[in-house]
Amino acid sequence: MPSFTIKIPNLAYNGPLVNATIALTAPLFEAMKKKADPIPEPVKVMALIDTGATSSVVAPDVIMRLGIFPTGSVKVNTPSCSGVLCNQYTAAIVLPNNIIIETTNLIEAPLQGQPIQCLLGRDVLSQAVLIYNGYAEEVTFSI
Amino acid sequence: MRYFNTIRHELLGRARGEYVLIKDDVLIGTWRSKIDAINSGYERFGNTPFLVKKILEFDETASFTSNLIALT
Repeated sequence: MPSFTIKIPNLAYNGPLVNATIALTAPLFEAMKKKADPIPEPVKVMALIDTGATSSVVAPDVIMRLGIFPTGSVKVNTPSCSGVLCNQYTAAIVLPNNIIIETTNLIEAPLQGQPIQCLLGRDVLSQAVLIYNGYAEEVTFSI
Repeated sequence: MRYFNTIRHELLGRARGEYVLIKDDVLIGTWRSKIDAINSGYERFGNTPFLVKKILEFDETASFTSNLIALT
């Protein structure tokens, strides 16, 4: 079972942070190659695993750097807003140990309050097993 | 989304629960799987904007319990 375990100092304060890379899905890569479009470099982000998030989120500059276009839209509710229409994207999220998870529900929205550019939500967690070991300050993620 | 809303009722009658692919206010087709609809969009249109939407009476929403998302 592909997995990774990361030790995060002060896990309770920092949260389950993980280095991730946002990349094109294989079908989009092939479509761009066929049309001889320039292939963008994957974008490295700091991500927070968030069980309170319906879907994964990336900051607008990540989408801009990746150069992909929306494949949908969804209304977003947070504690401070309700029904804000946001673009949704299809992308591959590459995690440590080359674990690749594709999502069709990646939302573009500005993030604040922490040095993160990505939330990994339940669209990603629905394809994985997450172990949050607070005593050891470790997080294990398996697919 | 505006075009989808104008044809939603008609789509509900024949493809409820499926996924519609719309490009520039043109209905391309419906698929049973979201990823098939998206990949079909990539095959036809490449890296350009299009809309894939589940055909339901009301749109699904995404909820976030934290205030990390800076939307107002």
